[in-house]
Amino acid sequence: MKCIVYCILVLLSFITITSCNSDGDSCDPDLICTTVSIDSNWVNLSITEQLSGVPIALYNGNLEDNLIVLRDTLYGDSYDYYLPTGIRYTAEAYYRSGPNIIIAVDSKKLTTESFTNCDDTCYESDEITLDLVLIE
Amino acid sequence: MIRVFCFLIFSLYNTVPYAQELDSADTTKTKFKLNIVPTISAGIHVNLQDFYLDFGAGAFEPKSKIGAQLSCSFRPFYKKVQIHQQANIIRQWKEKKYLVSVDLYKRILKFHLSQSLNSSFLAGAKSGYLFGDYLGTRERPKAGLTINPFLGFSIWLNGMNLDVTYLLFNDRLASVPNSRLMFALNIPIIP
Repeated sequence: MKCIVYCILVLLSFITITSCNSDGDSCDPDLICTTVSIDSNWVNLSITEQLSGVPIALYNGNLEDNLIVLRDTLYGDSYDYYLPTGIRYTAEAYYRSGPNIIIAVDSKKLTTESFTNCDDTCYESDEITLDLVLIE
Repeated sequence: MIRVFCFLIFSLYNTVPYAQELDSADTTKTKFKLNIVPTISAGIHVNLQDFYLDFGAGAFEPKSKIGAQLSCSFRPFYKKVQIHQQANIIRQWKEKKYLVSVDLYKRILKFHLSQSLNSSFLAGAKSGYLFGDYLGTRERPKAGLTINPFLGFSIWLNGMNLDVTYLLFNDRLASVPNSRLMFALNIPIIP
């Protein structure tokens, strides 16, 4: 029984230590730091290719908000759009499958994060991929 | 539905102390002392297309070998699912699901796998409220009460039970089979 308790304690300690963030006072002069706020980044739409093209719609926020950013028809299996950060994007792709229409939906937020390095505020943003590929 | 579920949990929690009160009353000659061991558990239930993590805490009565625990299971990722929305329209969502359940089980027929390895069969059911959400919409998967029986065996590993069971888990997805294997570590907290 003691062994189990010790194992749980060790595990909790490990999680606590590894989840600690570095404080704001750290300084790495070799770090590439973007000091200008990043206001746009790439949104990648990944789709299942169809010969007749795949109509897509991209929205700000949830589908119910109905804030359409763009509509397009894609002929490849992926396409990138350069869009403002700080917004959740939701994409729909419309596929024909026999008599049925399959509408694939995915959603992610395009974020910008900031951190301090050597008294500079650095910004970073990761591009996002909205996965509209059909289930096989 | 939620009210019914809350009422069931409330009723279950209330029956335990009530039963103890009856036993402690001097109404019978043979005194039956209810010996309850608290338990915690962690596990997964899995098939080739899906898996849920499962955590729970509850109690086990060694004499009757009956246990009960309040569990929370969830799919830790968004899974693509296809749902018929209208006659010719299928929606492919990314779905996450959660199950809050009361698990009732009984360990039966103790047997030895080897000289140092004790085992028993295990039968029970996870009964609870299944709900979830989809990415990019306020629409939600159909939620409701569900009863999911399980049957398997349990190996006593020097202070904890390793439960390996077949779980019939209906998560209301046509594309995911209901059959799952459930692996769980059930740890009695013995002071």
